[in-house]
Amino acid sequence: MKEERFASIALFLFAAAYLAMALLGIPEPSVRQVLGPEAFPRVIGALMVLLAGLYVLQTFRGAASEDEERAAVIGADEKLGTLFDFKTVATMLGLMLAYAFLFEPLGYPIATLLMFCTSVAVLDRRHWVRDLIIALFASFGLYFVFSFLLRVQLPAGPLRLLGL
Amino acid sequence: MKKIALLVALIVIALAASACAGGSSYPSKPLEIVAPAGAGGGWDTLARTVQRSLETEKLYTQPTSVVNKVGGGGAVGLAYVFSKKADDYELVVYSPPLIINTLNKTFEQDYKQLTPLAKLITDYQVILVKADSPYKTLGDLIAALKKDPLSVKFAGASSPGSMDHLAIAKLAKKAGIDPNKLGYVAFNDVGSGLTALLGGNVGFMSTGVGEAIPQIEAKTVRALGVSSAERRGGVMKDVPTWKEAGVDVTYEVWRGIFGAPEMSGDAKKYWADTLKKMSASKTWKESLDKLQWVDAYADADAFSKFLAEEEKSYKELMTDTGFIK
Amino acid sequence: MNFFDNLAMGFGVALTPLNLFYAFVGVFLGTVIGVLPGIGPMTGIALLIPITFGLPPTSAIILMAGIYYGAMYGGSTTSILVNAPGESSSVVTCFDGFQMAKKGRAGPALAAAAIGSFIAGTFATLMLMLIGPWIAAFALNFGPPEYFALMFAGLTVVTSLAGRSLVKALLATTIGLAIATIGIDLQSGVPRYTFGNPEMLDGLEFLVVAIGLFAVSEVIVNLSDMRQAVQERLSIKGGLWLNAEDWRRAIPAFTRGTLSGFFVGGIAGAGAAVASFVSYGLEKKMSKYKDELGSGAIEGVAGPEAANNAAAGGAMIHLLCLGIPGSGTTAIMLGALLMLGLQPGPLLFQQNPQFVWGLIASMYVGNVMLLVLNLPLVGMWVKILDIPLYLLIVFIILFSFLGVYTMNNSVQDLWLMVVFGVIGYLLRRFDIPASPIILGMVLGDLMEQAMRQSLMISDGNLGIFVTRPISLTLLLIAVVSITNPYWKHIGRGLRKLLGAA
Repeated sequence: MKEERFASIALFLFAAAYLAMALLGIPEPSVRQVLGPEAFPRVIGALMVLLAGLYVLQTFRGAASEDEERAAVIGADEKLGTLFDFKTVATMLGLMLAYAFLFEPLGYPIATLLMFCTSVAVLDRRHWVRDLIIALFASFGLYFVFSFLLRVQLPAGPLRLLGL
Repeated sequence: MKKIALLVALIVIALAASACAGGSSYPSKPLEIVAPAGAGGGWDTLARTVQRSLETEKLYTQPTSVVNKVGGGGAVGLAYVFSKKADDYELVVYSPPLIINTLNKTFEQDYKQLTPLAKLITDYQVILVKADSPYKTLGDLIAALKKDPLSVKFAGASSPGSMDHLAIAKLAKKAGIDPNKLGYVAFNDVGSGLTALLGGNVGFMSTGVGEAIPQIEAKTVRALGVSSAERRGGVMKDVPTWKEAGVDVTYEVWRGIFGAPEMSGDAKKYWADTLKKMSASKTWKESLDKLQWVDAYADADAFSKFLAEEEKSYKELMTDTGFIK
Repeated sequence: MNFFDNLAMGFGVALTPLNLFYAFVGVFLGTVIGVLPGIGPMTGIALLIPITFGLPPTSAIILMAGIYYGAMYGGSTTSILVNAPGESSSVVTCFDGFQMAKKGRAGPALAAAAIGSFIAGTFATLMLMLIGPWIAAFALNFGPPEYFALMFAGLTVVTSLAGRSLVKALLATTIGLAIATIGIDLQSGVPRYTFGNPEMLDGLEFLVVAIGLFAVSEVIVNLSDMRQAVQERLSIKGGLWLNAEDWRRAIPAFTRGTLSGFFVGGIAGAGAAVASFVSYGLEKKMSKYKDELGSGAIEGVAGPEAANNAAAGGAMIHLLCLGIPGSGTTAIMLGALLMLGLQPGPLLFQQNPQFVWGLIASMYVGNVMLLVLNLPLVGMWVKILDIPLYLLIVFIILFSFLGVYTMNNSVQDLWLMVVFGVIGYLLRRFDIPASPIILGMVLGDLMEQAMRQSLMISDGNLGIFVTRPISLTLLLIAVVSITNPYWKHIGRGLRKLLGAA
């Protein structure tokens, strides 16, 4: 699988970068240490480079190392299907990032209401009235449950001005 | 989708309208007190005690809330408060790590830009040994450390270079022991440090009096000395101060409250007044008793002066121990 | 007073209507807190402490203990239903719990979690009552070298988490270990891999990574074939309750989970998350059905869920008998007790017998309440799976965000969670198991700190690990558990060699 070769190389590069930082980028501590802060990262980094290297070799030699027989016996996770609806995934990921971005400025209730409604609009808009009611509960309703029942302060955004 | 947009627009308009309706005199908005660590710790407890006192005593008429900004020994909280420059409705609580972490450059911002409002309470460091330890007095321990600093390892609940470690370094230096040669073992929390002490893995432990009281009372540990200028009362009444034990140093774990940088004059005046009232209030005093905190109220001016002295003292101590290069 | 008088007095305290009420409020709130991903018992109790101010001390601790146990019960719910762990100690429950749900067996999974929690919680309370002080004294033998040995032994669990390829599993473990090195190094105070970002100074939050790798990646998997594939709902097939076969398989797992969890989490004080991993590893080695683990075996839920509750109960022993908190949550409870004017520790049993025995009795009562509360809830929870998939996805996103944000009030954690969601998806695509990453994260930091603390104490002498009996025993267990699959080969090789000679 070509894709997996890229993945294994990416992992190898990550491991190498980690090891490089362990060798060069960890500051000298100002206290006496028997085993310094760089020791573990170096060992872990070296192991990771070694294992990632093995993985690269395996992907280039083909999947021979994968023990399908054993997998069938132990019932390892089924491999994912090849279907990949790029558009839906990308839209929803974008939406999640936007939700994270707006979580504090807009506050939990408003940001959640927007996220909920947009997701429903993207995924399935046949039952939008029902879903809008659910969205209101999930945003404003939950906000009140958290602030008053559980005493957890969620970001209020502009609602803070109302003293909610 | 149109309906949703309409709904959102309505909410926004309603909010904007209500925001403008407020008066101009301080305080006209809800207050946010930042606890620069997670729920349950010292900073958080202080922030929540202040909040409760302000509310119960009706000293702040608008709503109040505590928000936890966790991370980096207070670095995240400080960055958050700095992002709220000139916002008169942001307060934050801190203690010596504010100065320590500024000096060792863990903090990117200079804490001196914060607006000191009041010093509120204080705690002291105490040196604990296991009940059956051969060290009966602080003198015994210091003599052993003088002979060989590494012969007695000690535990604390934070990284080297923070309070538990620096307090002992300060003591050691005054007693003529090279503070760089001490054998400090850092633990994640007071609990694991105590376990190591009671299990005989370390020779002594440096921790706050508040955390040590249950063990002192149960006599599983012996307190050799406390860092206050005078003896404490209660369970601690038989524990000598470091000075009494022959080393003339004190170490104070203060906690105070600050406003965001560039706080307005009106707000400063309001808080000078209000915090003074709060520190004399019944709710506040009762909480202090329960939490076994020592009242150390000092107003903004005195607090600023105190901070300047603290910074000087830490600068010296941390240069000596190599934490400032 | 003898033991039975004490116990009778305890029940006299616990069974007053008022205390029953607080026990119920506690276990109910705890269940809610447990079910919500993110907010754990620690935050929950810290935030609710102000409520306890007006209460008598016994009622206050009954309320808090209820929250603690309730959260341990509730934590498994979202792990099983939607692959989103509610607490760090429920991450392991995802492995087989969610697979069971996928097979339509969410009901038995939830029931097994509740029953396992009940058995373990009751066992831990029994131990507290009978031999609490002895356990507490023994626990003091666990210093840094023993911790290191324990974590090292825990790391051998990885061989049980490997899917198709050992290389991939080991690689994933090292990635987890690498993530664990991010942040300020406790032993030296220097920052590692923080890139000048203040939020990285405390390292990456374990649940942020876990929710990303499991829940968010599951969302992406579902989205990726939502439109093309015929959607199969995770609706219930078969009964909600354990059948005879389930019982037969779950009971040994309950037993192993309870005992190992009590040892690792309770006595050694290594925490509920480590306890649940060790229990999973134990099932993988000792269960008759070890080959099914990972694909929805009931042992994979029964063992770890018993283990994390036994650990929570053990932490109470540390708190009450030593006055030393054995977990973050009990640390908060210690603070609250002090505020109530009580000094936990060896003197507590003498000074406040009413309080201690009242609490012990209420722990039995609370565990029964939780069982009674949770079993009927199973029927309600599984209905969640009947929600149309697109709505379920939106809710998983919402709850993951809510949970992750409330942990540290950090937006950066939200970004990280989404990033780990994408990483989790890619890992699944390339068949690299995600669970060893979590294992590495849980054990890595503790192991490194313990090793360096030990060497600091011994002035660099490695002998400290092998000259102390408990540490040596644990290290030997680790060696045996790594090498035992190869013994056969080695034996055969030796015989051949000897035969040839």
